[in-house]
Amino acid sequence: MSKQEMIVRHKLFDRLCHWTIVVVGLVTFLTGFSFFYPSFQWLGGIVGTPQLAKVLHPFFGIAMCLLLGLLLIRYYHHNKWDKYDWPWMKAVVWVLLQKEENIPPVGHYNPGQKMLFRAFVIFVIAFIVTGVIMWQPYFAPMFEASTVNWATLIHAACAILMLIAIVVHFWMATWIEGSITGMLYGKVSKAWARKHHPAMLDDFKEEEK
Amino acid sequence: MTNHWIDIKNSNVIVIMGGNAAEAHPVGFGWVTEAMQHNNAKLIVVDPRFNRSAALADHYAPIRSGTDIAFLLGVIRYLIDTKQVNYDYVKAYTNASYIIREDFDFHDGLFSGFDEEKGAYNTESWYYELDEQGYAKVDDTLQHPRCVWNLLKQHVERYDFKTVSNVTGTPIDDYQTVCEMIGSTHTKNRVATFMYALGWTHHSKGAQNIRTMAMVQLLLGNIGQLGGGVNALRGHANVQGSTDMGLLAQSLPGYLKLPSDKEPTLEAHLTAHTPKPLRPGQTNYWQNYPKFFVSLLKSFWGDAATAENDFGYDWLPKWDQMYDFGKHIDMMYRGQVNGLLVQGVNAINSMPNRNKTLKALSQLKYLVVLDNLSSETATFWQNEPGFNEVNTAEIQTEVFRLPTTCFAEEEGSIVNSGRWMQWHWKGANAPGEAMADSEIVSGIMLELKKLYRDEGGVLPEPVAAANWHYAIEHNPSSEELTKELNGYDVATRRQVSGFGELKADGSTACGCWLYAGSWTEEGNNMARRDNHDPSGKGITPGWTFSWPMNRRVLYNRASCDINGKPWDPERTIVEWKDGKWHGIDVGDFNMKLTPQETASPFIMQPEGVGRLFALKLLKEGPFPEHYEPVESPIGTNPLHPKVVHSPVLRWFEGVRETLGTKDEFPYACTTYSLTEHFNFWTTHCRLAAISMPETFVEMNEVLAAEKGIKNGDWVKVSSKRGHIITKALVTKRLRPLQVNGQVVHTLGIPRHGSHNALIKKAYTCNVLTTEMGDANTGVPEYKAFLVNVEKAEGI
Amino acid sequence: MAEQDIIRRSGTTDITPASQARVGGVKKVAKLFDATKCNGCKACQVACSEWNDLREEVGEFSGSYQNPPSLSPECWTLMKYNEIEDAGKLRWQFTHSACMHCADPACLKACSTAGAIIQRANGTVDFDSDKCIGCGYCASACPFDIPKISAKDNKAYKCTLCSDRTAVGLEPSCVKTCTTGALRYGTREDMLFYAEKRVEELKARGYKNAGLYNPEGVGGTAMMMIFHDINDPESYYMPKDPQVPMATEIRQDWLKPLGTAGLIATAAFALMHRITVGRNIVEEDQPGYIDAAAEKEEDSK
Repeated sequence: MSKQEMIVRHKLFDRLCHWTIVVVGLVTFLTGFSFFYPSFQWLGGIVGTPQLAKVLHPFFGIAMCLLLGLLLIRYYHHNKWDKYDWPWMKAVVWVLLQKEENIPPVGHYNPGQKMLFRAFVIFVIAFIVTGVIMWQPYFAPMFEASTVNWATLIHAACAILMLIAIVVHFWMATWIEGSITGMLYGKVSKAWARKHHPAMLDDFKEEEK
Repeated sequence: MTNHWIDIKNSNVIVIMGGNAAEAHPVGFGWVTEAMQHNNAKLIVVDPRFNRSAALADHYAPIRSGTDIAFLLGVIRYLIDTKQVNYDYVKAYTNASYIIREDFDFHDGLFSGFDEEKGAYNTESWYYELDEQGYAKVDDTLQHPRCVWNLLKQHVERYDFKTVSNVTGTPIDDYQTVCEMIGSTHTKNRVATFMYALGWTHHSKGAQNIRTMAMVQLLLGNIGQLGGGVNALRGHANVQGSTDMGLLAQSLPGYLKLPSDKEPTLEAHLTAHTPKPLRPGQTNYWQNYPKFFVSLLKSFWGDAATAENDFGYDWLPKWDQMYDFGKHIDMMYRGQVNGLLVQGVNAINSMPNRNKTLKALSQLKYLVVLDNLSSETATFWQNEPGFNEVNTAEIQTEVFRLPTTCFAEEEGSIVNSGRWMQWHWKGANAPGEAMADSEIVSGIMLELKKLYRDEGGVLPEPVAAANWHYAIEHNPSSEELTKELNGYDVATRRQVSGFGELKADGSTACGCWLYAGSWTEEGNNMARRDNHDPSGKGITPGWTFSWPMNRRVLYNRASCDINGKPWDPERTIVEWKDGKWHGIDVGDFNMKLTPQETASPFIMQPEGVGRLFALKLLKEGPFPEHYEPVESPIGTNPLHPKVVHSPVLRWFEGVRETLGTKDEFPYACTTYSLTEHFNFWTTHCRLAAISMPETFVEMNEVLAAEKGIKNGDWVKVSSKRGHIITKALVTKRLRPLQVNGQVVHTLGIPRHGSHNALIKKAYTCNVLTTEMGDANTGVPEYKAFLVNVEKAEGI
Repeated sequence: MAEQDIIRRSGTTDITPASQARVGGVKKVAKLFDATKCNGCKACQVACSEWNDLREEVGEFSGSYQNPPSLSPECWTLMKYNEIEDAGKLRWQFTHSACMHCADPACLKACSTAGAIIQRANGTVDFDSDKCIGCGYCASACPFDIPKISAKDNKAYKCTLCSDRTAVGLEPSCVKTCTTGALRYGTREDMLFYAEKRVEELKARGYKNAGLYNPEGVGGTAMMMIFHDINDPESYYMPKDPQVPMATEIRQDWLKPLGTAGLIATAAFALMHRITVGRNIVEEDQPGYIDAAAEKEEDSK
């Protein structure tokens, strides 16, 4: 067996989708950040002016949510809770401490990633619903002011939580080396898979049969 | 107004009836809220609708439209019954003690002298009994059975609360409250004012509506007082001015008379209109009629008017009947008129019975419209499906449109309701080719002069001799014109300082004797802007010019008793003190005379007193009487079923067939203006159009429920004369009234429809109204007619 | 409208007011609407549009005298109409509806755009269109439903209490034009004094429940109203107890600091973790890696 035998973890479409989301999401989050924090209002300048940021934010947001939704649908089958997940969860501290001998095997995604998936599902729905309600000047006038106000609060709260989730995602992606190349080029080594997602290899074996 | 706007602040009780001051006169209405807040005045509103005025009223009473006379005669009965009368005033300053001729009579709705065939009265018996010297006989004790006081008591006896409520639909409780509040001003320290407008004039007995109220005011001693009076609220800017200038078909400027064909000579005319005093020692101001009349003729024809040619009297048109606008429309309708100049009115939207008016205009050879807007009158020949259905190809009328300036684009004077002649300055230049009306009319005049000169013609003199000497002949300035109205000495060209200087020998010329004093040798008194109010009573002698002679309160001699002592020291206008008259206002009497000599405050009457009995002046009779509207929702007159409506109406040929009955058209309908708009004019004004973008019909909740009509639904309102389709406003502000054993529903339609302006295209309410109107003035009954209503498809 | 007059700015921590405002040299002002003197003539509404150059579309009749149907970026003052019955007597109530200029403005609280909403030393609340981004937070926070976002330029608009007039000593245009004296303008102190007297008068005239609407929940307002019945402000389309909404307070006072803390904590934890735990690499994938097992195999050969 060649020491660097590679297997496909992310298909081309999904990778394109992911990186588009990164770019679109970056604009969405930075502009959103500019509305939330007066001190970061200058961030709105990434698209020109704060006024333009307000105009574009919802459109970028919709794009982000649609693409993310698509990606979530495509990854749905990887994110079903399965028999490996509970044992792994119990050992999550060992995961963080990198004591691999104590970590039970997991499949294509580990429970941490699956939780992120679920969080993203909730955020996408919440963003679209609250975002439409608060979208000035098109939709907001159709709703009661208090509804819009609560929508604004939920929207902001979800954004903060999602940002925290993204920090975790980024942290893990950069910590587990090989992940980013996996998302960039699609392939991870079997060794990587064996180390982080051993059960994923079983899928491959089944596929090979 | 006998008084003026600011004076309303001095009132104790303000009655808004036959008008809607808050809606139609919102600025002047500010003095009502002022009186309520700072004089603790009470506001009463009597109206078929709970309107914007009612919203601020202390007491609102609903009334069936067209029953104001019954309402007010009931008030008179109540005042007399409960002795809430200012007896001193009534005895001294009204004709209560005057004895009426023996042959005067009233029963079953008719006064003596009725000629059924002519539909008119022989008014011979409606007069005082005269003594040998030609003076009216009086009985100061008021005991004589035929003195006005007893005749009045007898006349109003029928109008008890129950009868009044049965006719007017006003619940007895509400009615009693109104009576009590009005009655409270019979004391010398309390005064009521009545504010009215088109809600009283737009009836088949409009003049009598107003007269009944004037009688109430006389009984209470409220005329000539601060905070009292008879106060007509004039709507159109300068409608007061146009009335002063002879708006009515039989008037000349200054309320002088246009001669009838029964007055072939100047002498005959002057004799007919120069009254002899009916009591000894009267001012009898109309004795000066010849001075005013001859000065007017001098202003018309200048040097061409000489004593030899009766000052051009022969050149005046003489009438055989009233040629008002209504009569003219009828004549056009019959093809008897060639051309029409329409100026200052949107005839097709304003004249009653739009369909008839449309046919009338279509019969003309030419129509000239002078207007600053593109009015529907000028485009009457254009087909507009639904709103103006005409066959353009069949209309041969040639239409000329002459754009005029609007008031803000010219200088001049505007007379407000309080008779103040207020000079105003030009605010902007007129757009495009617009010209002032005076310039347009001058152009026509000069062209006529030229045509008569070049081509001759029948009777050229009235035009050829017209006094026309202006710096710019085709464009007289406002200054030149108003100076002419003030009057001048013909020889010296000096401006007269008052109408006292006018003469009947042709040495003075004056365009409107009432305006004398407005532009004297001292200058333009109308341009004065000193609002100094030394008494704090709203008398501001340095503010513009109030005709006559800068007098702010008319008949102000009546504010004192016969000895010159004010009835109420708080309301002193004039006062006899230390052998002299003092006052904050110009006395409406000769202030050089003693109180006793001047104790006849109504100086325009030959007997010097206010008339509870109106003699021969009104066609319906010397006392007001309740008559139903021409189209009555009860179809009868509970007081005298044989005389349902006014017996002296003018009936144009064929008009009977255009009147509906209550079986076919069961609902009463009235029309009115909204604050948001001024007639049809502001439908072209964007902000006004935004604030009220469409007309509607108001109806009460009960009727709407019966008809299955919801707020905002489209409905069809039809009268015998046509129908309109509009949206319904279902409101609590109109309510069903119990009248003569039946329920009367009233609908209300604002008059601001237009299919040719910035507002949403809408029908105009004059599709529904009838040309039947007041016998004295010809004013149509816009305020009370019959309709039906049903749900309709939208347009 | 010197900057010195500003005592509060949106999206900014409390600023030190200019000396004039600090020592109370600038008096608080107020507009007083007396519903018991109003005749619903709409002169205020039209004057507002005249002065501020506002032109709403010409609409259509929709079952009421109220036109346009609501406040909008092109309509900052609107007369509202209501027919109510009080003790069997009909009352047609008119409400002059415009910005209330709250002492604790929810709009200013909700706005995160620095300086887009300001409160002046005289107590009026004003929008700075140059800065406004049109997010609509003010519109949704306002308990009186006043600010409206323009679809034309994406900015919030409302009554300014004619700050351009009041700055030069004139009254607001609506007050100037009011025909009945239902609208008044002056120092807040004077208006309160007048209102107290007026309410007494009304009580003497039989309006037992007459009272002044100056809601405490928003710290009082610089537009106060006199009602026939103070217990029923809803009949004038005014909220009974307006407050800065809870959602606005949570977002600005709680979510912001807590969210910031959460973000920083997460990032800090991640960084600490990276530093302490070190790299997580698949050694086989590293260049120069020699598979121990394979080596053994080689050796055994």
